[in-house]
Amino acid sequence: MKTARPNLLSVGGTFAFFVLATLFTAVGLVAFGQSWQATGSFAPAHPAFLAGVHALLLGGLLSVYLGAAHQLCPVISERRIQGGGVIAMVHAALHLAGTALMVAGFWLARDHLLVIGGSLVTAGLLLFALLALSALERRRSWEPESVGLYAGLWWLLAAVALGLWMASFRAGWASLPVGLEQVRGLHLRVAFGGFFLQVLLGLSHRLVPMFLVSRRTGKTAAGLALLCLNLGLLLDTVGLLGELPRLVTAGDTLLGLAILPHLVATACQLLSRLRPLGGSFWSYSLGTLGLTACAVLWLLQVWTPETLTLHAEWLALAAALPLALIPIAFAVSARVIPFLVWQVACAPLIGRQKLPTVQQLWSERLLWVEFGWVVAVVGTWGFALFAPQPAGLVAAMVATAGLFATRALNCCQLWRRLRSFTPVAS
Amino acid sequence: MNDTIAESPTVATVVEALRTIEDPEVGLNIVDLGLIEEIRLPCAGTVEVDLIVTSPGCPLKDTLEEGTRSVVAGLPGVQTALVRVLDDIRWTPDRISDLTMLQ
Repeated sequence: MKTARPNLLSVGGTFAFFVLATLFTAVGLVAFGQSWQATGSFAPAHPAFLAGVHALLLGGLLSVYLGAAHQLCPVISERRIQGGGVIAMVHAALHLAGTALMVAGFWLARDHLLVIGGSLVTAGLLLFALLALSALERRRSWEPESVGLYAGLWWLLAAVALGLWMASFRAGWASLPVGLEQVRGLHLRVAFGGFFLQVLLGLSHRLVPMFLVSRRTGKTAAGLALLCLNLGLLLDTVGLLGELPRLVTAGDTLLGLAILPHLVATACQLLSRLRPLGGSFWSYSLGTLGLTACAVLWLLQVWTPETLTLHAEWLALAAALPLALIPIAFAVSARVIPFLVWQVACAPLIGRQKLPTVQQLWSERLLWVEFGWVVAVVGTWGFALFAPQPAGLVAAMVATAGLFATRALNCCQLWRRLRSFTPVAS
Repeated sequence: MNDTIAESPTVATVVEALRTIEDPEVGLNIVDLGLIEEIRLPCAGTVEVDLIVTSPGCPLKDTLEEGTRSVVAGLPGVQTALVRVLDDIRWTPDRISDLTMLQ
């Protein structure tokens, strides 16, 4: 009897990052709730708000990215890295310790914890950068997914460096060449636009489940989006550090407009014929709409700040988490998780026996239930953010918990289906 | 001495055998999906297969290559199975067989 020999080491780091993402997302949402309860709105001055933002971005989304990137980088560069699996595990451990210390540092207002946690996160990222760049060495590619991954990595390192600089300044260990607000504004733009959006929009034409049909449209859109993001960030960097407001306005406008090509590409996908994993595709589309709403809010605060309430800039970013990035992260991981499981359990048996497809491992019905929860998350969080009411916040928390519980159920189902698949003698 | 030496397979036999390999994401076999670029039988007992993948960085590249080699090598009469993945030919949805599109 032939049995699959799963290479658990090669995917162990990825799964560790996915587990971290789930835990930190839960922590981040609780922190958001506490911040809202204390201030009645989402005020960046409250320590729990910053703890929540960092738990969601560093612990949640960055972990999803890193988990996927440890698989994607060698694939895109077509080079297997010796010891890559071990490096991914070490990176996950450093990321866990660093992010936990940073979240605690923000929540408890302890600046030295921020510096230590930030240093650990940076050490992990440098390890990853080493891995990614040694993979890149062999084949340089200008495909949007490669540009998104690698340019995003540089902007991420810049964002972490800016964050460490600010934390050191607050701890009294360093000075800043410009005001703290300018550095914070740059940190925020570089982290969100330079890293998260860049990676997402760069990979979008490969991630959208129906990329098979309108690949060219998706690729053009991704290329345009990356151009807008990188140009906008360069203008923002010069404008904020040189205190040139017009350049900042131009840069911010480009950042907001970067979503537009992606919206067009997603709309084009709606007209296509192949729709595998339907529930996750609609989650992705809803996330794109949420991202567009945040971009509109961002552009409004750039051009007509007097018409908006306080903290519009922060609100646009805070809204992007539940309204856009959670739906997109769920949609993307709905494709990545069963695929990784298939690679570990089934790939060694290909050609030897009938194997289940990736879709057969995942429960289509539960994906539609997940989509229902995603709609509830977007609706309730939208309500809680823009019309703050205690009941709205509770509803948002319940919807988020429901979404995570459904995903957990889906993973259990996947495990059961995998166990029911028994290798046969060849 | 083995007196029942199997004859070399034909291209049609190889194609039929390759239909057992499915792309796990799309759920179509690699022949109907249009991933087989060329099958050659240069001499008795040798089969060469040129394969393409659906995207340049396809994570299944190695898996499909190994699966194809294993299936072809398992055919009666095959002593050498050579499988190449062509990076310079791009897959497009037009390569999906018409029969499959109608299903």
